Amino acid sequence: MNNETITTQSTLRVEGVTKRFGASATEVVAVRNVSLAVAPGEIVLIMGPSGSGKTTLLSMLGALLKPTEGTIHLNGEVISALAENRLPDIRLQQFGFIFQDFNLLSALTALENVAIVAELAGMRNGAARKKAAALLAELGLGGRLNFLPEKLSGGEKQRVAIARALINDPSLILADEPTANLDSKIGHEIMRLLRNIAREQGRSVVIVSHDQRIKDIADRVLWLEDGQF
Amino acid sequence: MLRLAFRNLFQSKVRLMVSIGGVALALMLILSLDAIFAGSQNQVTAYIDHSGADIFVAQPGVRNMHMTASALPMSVASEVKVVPGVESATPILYLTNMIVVGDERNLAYVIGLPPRPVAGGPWRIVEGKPLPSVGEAVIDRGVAVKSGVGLGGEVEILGEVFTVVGLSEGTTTLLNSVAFISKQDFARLRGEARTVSFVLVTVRPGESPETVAARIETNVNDVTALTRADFAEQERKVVRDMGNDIIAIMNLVGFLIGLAVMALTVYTATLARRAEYGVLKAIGARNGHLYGVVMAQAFISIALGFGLGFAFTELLSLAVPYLNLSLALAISGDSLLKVALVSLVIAGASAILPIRQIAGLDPARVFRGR
Repeated sequence: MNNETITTQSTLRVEGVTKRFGASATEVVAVRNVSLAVAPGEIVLIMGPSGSGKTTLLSMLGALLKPTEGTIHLNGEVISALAENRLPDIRLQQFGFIFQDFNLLSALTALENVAIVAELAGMRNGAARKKAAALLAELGLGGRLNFLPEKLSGGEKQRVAIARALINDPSLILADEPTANLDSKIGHEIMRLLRNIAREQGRSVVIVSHDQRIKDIADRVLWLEDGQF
Repeated sequence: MLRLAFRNLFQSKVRLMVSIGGVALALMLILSLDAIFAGSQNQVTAYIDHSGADIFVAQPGVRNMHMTASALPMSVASEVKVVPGVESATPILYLTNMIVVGDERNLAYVIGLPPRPVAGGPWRIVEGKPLPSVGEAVIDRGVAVKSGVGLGGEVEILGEVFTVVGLSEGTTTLLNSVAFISKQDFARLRGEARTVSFVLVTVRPGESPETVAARIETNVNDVTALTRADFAEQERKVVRDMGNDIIAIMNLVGFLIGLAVMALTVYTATLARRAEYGVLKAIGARNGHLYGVVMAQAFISIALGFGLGFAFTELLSLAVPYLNLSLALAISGDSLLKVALVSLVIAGASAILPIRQIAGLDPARVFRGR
């Protein structure tokens, strides 16, 4: 398991990142000296057993957790060194998150779930709804805009989640087990969607997953074990 | 985020109705108690307001009727009559006493009226005649119904039996009613042939009651002369002073109930959406955005509760006359403003704990549902 070669053209660059929890006798090293580079338009799949540090690594890549050591660069900016109060804006503008459980807001329609993220970034309500509608239509959900999440199928919910992840034109998509709650056919559809997004829009995609079925979609598959590649 | 607040609130309609209902009832407690006391203050001055008198002349230092006694020499009426600006001076006798019918006892202002009084008699008669002669009484219709007596029936006042010859309206309050007998009977029963309680004065057209009242106090020895407005205000003050502590305590109770209901509602609503708020934080929402959602939910709920509480109180005020109660509710602008401010405080205070919850949410836990 070697550390990845760092390139200067990468959307995402991770250099010698380590994450420790606790101290002294109770210290746990969840991620150990990991380096990684992801190019624009590339899909990287990180796999590994439970407890290998995948979630911790993903949290650090998404600026949700700061590394104990090392640096994380996004589009040339060292986000791991930024003050806490700058990170929400970075996450809003630069990242798109896709979760295992979809995590849509249950009281909002499909359209509103996507639009709200654009509004958080400062877009006016009308423009946000228009952009959200266009995005959802592109993803085949033009007829489901006003449906609440409880009325959507698993595949539809995940496509709404993808639209939500894309609404602010992020350069990096982070997906945590995006196919875990989907059947094989739908799971494959979602992965093909992510591949098209990466190829056609030049966005980098980092996926953490146990799902062996999606390996063929990724450009690279990395195995993380005991916090190291 | 306002849309999110609305949607979160209205998604669980049962919870919303329960919380708004609870807040509405708590605010109604404050509003209706204020309205009862305001109504009582208006009622308690009904006799003064409708007496037809511009000035009330009383024993020195006596500035209201409720729970007071006033005694003036009979000659005062004549002395007052000749004061410049006075058109008429009607002497009346007054005492607070019981109207007794069988076992039914009702507290009343008993007014002893001279024959053909210019002021001081009943202002609205619904049955019978307006002025009692010797051996006769005019009582409030509500009291008559409650006591099971009608025209021609008998009531005991000041220890003597009188025949009811007239039924008046508007002459009852939360505290007492007004009953009228002849001054002659009153004086005989109380041994007050040479005294009067009050002299009710009307002023000549064009004269100012304040000016004439001042003249009366200057020209007539040992009297207090107050305009009707001042006399009524003093009467209301007595009721206000009696009720202030009760109102303050019940207002506090209402506030605490409203706060508890609202705090519990907003807290549980926030707890129920903890995961969603975590997702929003992970995506990039700032704490301020989420505080706004919580505050908006609290303020929308309280506004709905306020509206409903006001509607409940209005309904109560409309229903009270049909319930044969000696009550009148008067919702004042001051009371509404007070309850609105209380509502704002409740909304703000109830959002504190949920806001602290949100501040402590770790967005990194959004992965894997943890």
